[in-house]
Amino acid sequence: MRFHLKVWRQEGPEAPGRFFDYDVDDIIPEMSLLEMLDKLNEELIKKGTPPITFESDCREGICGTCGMVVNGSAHGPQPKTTTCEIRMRHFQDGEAITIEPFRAAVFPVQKDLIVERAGLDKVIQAGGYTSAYTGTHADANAILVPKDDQEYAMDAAACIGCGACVAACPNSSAMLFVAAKIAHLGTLPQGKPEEASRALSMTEAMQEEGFGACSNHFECQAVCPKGIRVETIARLNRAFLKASLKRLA
Amino acid sequence: MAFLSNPIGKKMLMALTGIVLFLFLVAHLLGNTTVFGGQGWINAYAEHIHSAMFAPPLWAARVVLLACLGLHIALGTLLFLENTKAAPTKGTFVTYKEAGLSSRTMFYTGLLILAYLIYHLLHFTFHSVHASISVSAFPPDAQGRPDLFRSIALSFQRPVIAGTYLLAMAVVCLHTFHGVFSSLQTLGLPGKASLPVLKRAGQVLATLLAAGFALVPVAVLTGWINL
Ligand code: HEM
Ligand code: FES
Repeated sequence: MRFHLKVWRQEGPEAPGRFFDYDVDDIIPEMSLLEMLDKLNEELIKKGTPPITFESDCREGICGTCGMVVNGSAHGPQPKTTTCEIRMRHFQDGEAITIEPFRAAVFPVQKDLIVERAGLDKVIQAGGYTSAYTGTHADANAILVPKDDQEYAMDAAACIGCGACVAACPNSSAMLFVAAKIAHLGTLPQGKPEEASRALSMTEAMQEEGFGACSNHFECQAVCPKGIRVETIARLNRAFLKASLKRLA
Repeated sequence: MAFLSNPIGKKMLMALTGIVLFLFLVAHLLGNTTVFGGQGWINAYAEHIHSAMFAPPLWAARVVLLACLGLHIALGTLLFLENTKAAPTKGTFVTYKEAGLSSRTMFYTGLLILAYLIYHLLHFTFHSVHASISVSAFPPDAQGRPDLFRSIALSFQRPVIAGTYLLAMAVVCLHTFHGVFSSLQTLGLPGKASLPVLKRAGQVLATLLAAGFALVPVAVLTGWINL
C-alpha cells in the first residue's frame, strides 16, 4: 500500500511548526500506523533528515503513550482503538493521511508529535489514589464486592490516561479522565471513604492546571480508545454535589 | 464561594438558572396560547396578571428571573472565556463526532437571545419601539381593557416584525436544544439507560417550545388570527 502523509513537524516548544509532506510506499496492510512511521523514519535517517519524533511504549493499547491526531480524530478514525493499534488496512490505498499532535493549551508540543501531558499527572496527584493502609497482601475474597460494582469499576479503570478526551474536547476539559478515576475508585470499598474529598480536589486541580470545563459536547466519548462513557461524568457531577453539600454542613 | 470557583459548581449554577429561565418560557408560552381564544381571552388574561392581586407574585417572579438571567449570562461568559483559553486551537482540521451546531454555538445564541430579549421588552413591555401599534396607542376594548390583541395582530401583520420573531425563536430553539439536556447532565441526573432518552426528550421539548412561540406570528401572517 502507498500513502501520502502530511505530518506536523516542530523543532521545539517555542519553534513554529508546520506540515511536511511525505510519500510512503511498500506498506504492508498489517503494519500499525506507528510501524508505518518507523519505516518512514528509517528512510528519513538514510537520507540524513531528522526522523519524526513520536512517543510509544507498549504498542498494544494499554499504556496510553502513543496519542496523536490522525485525520482530525484523536487516535484516528477507528473507534475504541489507540494509535498504536490502528492497522494500515483501515485506510484506503493511496489515501492522504494527516498526522498532528494532540492540541490543548495544557498539552504544549515538545517536538513534532510529542506533547507534555504532565497536567494529567498533577490531577491524579491531587486525589486519584486511596490512602488506606492495606497492610500485607490481603486474601482475595476478604472484602466482597458485588458483581455489578466490580464490572462498573473495571470498565472505568480501563482508562489509560492517554489524554485523547482532552485533545478532542472543544474546551480541552479533562472531565472524562477525572470521571473515570472517580468512578473507578469510588465504586470499590477501598476508595469509597475518600470519594468526597477526591471529587473536590481532582476537579479543582483540573481547573488549576488549565483544563477547561465540561460543556457536554461528548466529543471525549467518541474518541476514547477504552470506551469510557459520559454517564461517568454525570456520576462525577453527583459526587461533586454530594461533596459540596457535605462541606457546607 | 468554593462551590463557584469549581468548574462543576459554575456549570451547576448555569444549569439551575437555565432551567428556571426555561420554566419561565414554558409559563410564558402557556399565557400566549390565550391569543388563540381571540380578543376577549388574551385581553382578559393580560388584565388579570396586571391586576393588583397579582402584583406581588409578579414582581417576585421578575426579581428571581432577572437574577437568574444575570447569573446565567455572567457565568456563561466566564466559562466561555475560560474554555476558549484552555483550547486556543484544535488542530488544522477537526471532525466533530457528537458535538452538534447547538452545543458549539451556546455562547453566540445566548448573546442573540439577549439582544432579542431587549428588543422584545422594548416592543411589548415598554412600548418604545413600534409605538404606533403598541397597546398605549389604541383605545380600550369593549370591556374597557387595554387592547393587547389588536397590538399583537397589527405587529405580526408586518412581515419584518414577524420575521424577526421567527428568527429569534429559531435561535431560542438552537440554544435550548442542547441546553435542556445539558443542564440535566450537569446536575448528574442521567444513568446509563436514561441518558439517550433524556437527551432526545430535551431536544423534543426545546423544539416544541420554540414551535409553540412561533405559532403566533405564523397564525397572524396566514390570517388565522385577524382583527
Ligand atoms: C431565554 C433565555 C435562556 C435560557 C432558557 C437558557 C438556557 C440554558 C441552559 C439550560 C443551558 C445549559 C447549562 C449547562 O450546560 O449545564 C445554557 C447554557 C448556556 N447559556 Fe443559556 N439560556 C438563556 C439565555 C442565555 C443568554 C441571554 C446567554 C448570554 C450570554 C446565555 C449563555 C449561555 C451559555 C454561554 C451557555 C453554555 C455554558 C457552557 O457551555 O458551559 N444563555 N443556557
Ligand atoms: S503505545 Fe501504549 S497505548 Fe499505544
